[in-house]
Amino acid sequence: MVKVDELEQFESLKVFSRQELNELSSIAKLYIFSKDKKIFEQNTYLENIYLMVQGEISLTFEVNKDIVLILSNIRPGTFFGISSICGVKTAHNAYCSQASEVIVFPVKGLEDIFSKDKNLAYKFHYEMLKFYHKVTQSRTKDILKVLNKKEHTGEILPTIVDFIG
Amino acid sequence: MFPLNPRKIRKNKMIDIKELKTINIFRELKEDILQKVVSICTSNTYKSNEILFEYEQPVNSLYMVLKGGIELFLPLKNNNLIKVYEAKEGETVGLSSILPDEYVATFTAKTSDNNTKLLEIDGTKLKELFNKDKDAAVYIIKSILKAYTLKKFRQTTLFISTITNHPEIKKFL
Repeated sequence: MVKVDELEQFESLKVFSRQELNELSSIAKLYIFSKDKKIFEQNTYLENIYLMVQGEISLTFEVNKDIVLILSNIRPGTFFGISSICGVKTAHNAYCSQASEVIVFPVKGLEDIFSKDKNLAYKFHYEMLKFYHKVTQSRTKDILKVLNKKEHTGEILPTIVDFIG
Repeated sequence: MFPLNPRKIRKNKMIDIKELKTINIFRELKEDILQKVVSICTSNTYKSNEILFEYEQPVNSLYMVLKGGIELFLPLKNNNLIKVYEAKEGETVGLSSILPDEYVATFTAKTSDNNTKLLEIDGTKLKELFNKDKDAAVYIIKSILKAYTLKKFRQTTLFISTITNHPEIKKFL
């Protein structure tokens, strides 16, 4: 269990009342993952949604046994593993490039809480939707910066723009 | 920068649930929820190249493609638009319309074909539905997240496959 006072510190959880945070805290657990730990693997169904506390976690994609690409790094205070709440496989691995602290919310536990508190269910899912939009917006801005630099608008451009749609 | 009143060729407010079910985000939803959505959904037909919304501007509606397509663009510094995606039949764009007002478009969206037929849901009305019926809201939001996540999954795979086969990048692998 994670204390409500600790959950209250996260910007991404500010919309929830103390009572709602109390419900979320009852199923939340703080994990400390060691460096090089793989938290989850690409192309699998996840059982948890994760909130990054501190450390360094990368989302990676394994092309083959020899090539692993880093897609992005998770910032403290952000959720990852959102595919777990909509029942689809995750597209990437989550890998600790440094020892990291993560709050883990089991989806089964969340569903139990949500079945009793519809308003919390709605708020939580709506927050995920807002978070998803923010991620897309941030990625789009990063890509625009690259596109606006002449030296990066060569042959690779079509592949970059395929990705961000 | 662009006119913001797309010229609708035809407006028809009567929507069939069967039409709604052709849209990915509504495909698996229960009939009672679809009935509620249908009541706030309109169908409109557009000429090609009509601007639906602009980058970093507010978006009024969710747009879902019944026929034709919606092209998404990013504006470069030199004011040129670069096409980044084309939403085809069954796909949805305009997510920021159902988020709070400070959330704005991440792309500029234009219709791609003549006689592009779109289903549209006013974002304010959908947010009102969310507030009235939390159960329906959760189902709809989950479905939207699922559709967007699946799209990202396909794009990530495509992107990785494209770059790892790119001759310039292959040199470094």
